[in-house]
Amino acid sequence: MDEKMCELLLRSFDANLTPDEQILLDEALAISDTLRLEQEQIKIVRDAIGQGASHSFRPFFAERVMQRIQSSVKSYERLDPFFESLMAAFRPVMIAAGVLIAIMLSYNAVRHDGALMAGVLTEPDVSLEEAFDPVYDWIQE
Amino acid sequence: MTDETLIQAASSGDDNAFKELIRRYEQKVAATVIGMLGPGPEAEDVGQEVFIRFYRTMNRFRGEASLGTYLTRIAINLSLNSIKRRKRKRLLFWEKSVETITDLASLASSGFDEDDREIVQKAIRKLDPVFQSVIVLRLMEGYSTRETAEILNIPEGTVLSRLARAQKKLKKILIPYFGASHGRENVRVVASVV
Repeated sequence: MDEKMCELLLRSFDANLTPDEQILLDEALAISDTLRLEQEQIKIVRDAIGQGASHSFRPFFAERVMQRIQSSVKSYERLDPFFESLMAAFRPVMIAAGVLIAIMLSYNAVRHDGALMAGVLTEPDVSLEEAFDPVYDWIQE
Repeated sequence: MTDETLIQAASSGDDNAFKELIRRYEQKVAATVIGMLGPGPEAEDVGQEVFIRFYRTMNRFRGEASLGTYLTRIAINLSLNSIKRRKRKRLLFWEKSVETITDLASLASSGFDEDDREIVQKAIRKLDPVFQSVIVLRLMEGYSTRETAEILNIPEGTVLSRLARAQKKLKKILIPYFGASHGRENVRVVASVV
């Protein structure tokens, strides 16, 4: 069977063919037993699929969905006071940490005397040589 | 009552309004989710999740698409996520896919209506998820090709090519079974045509 004709046949079920394509398909169907068989088989398959749909869940589906929604809302409500108390407990810690960070930043800024932001925020880079073989000025003294 | 009125009422805390929305769209969501995942607790769970997601984002729903289309889109996305999770789990625990062709054969020989539905659903689940979604939306739910493209956010041409490939594969799987069971009448039609 002509593959192109078979594709045209399949497409005819789901899309509008152009008049030329329709004539071509009609002519092919008129002369080809195989193509007619193919057309009937596709119809059987499509009918079977159409009838094969299940349109229901178990009974009381809506009630079960509402139950899940309500229980998730309740658990959120239960968690809400927990998070609020957690926030209340950690608020002083957060404020203290913020103040400490601000002091450290300003201390670094003063020490490096207008250094770059990297210098303010972090320690200056130390090379491996410096780390393993530090120069102690006080030894020479 | 229109969907918009119910959404407004539900947004202001009316649980009965939301329950009514669930009842209205339960079948649509069920068709999508069961079509993608098959019947069972996983599909039920995803179905519930669809409405829970909607409940949480209801205020953002602007009504650009119909509520049915909006929920179908959520259902498809959650089903695809669920399929991915299922695949990961199978890979992780070396689980074998439970559904085999022999399962389909035993179903086909045992009964008629409910079994036929199961055969179709199992056959659809044998497809790659991207093909499953177009089959479920276009052929099970009856969305047009354009609507299917909009829901999946892909071009119409892609929908058509995926549909064609999926149907070819489904034909290979389903024709032997439907030729032997309730497809007999259709088979007679085919025989008379040939």
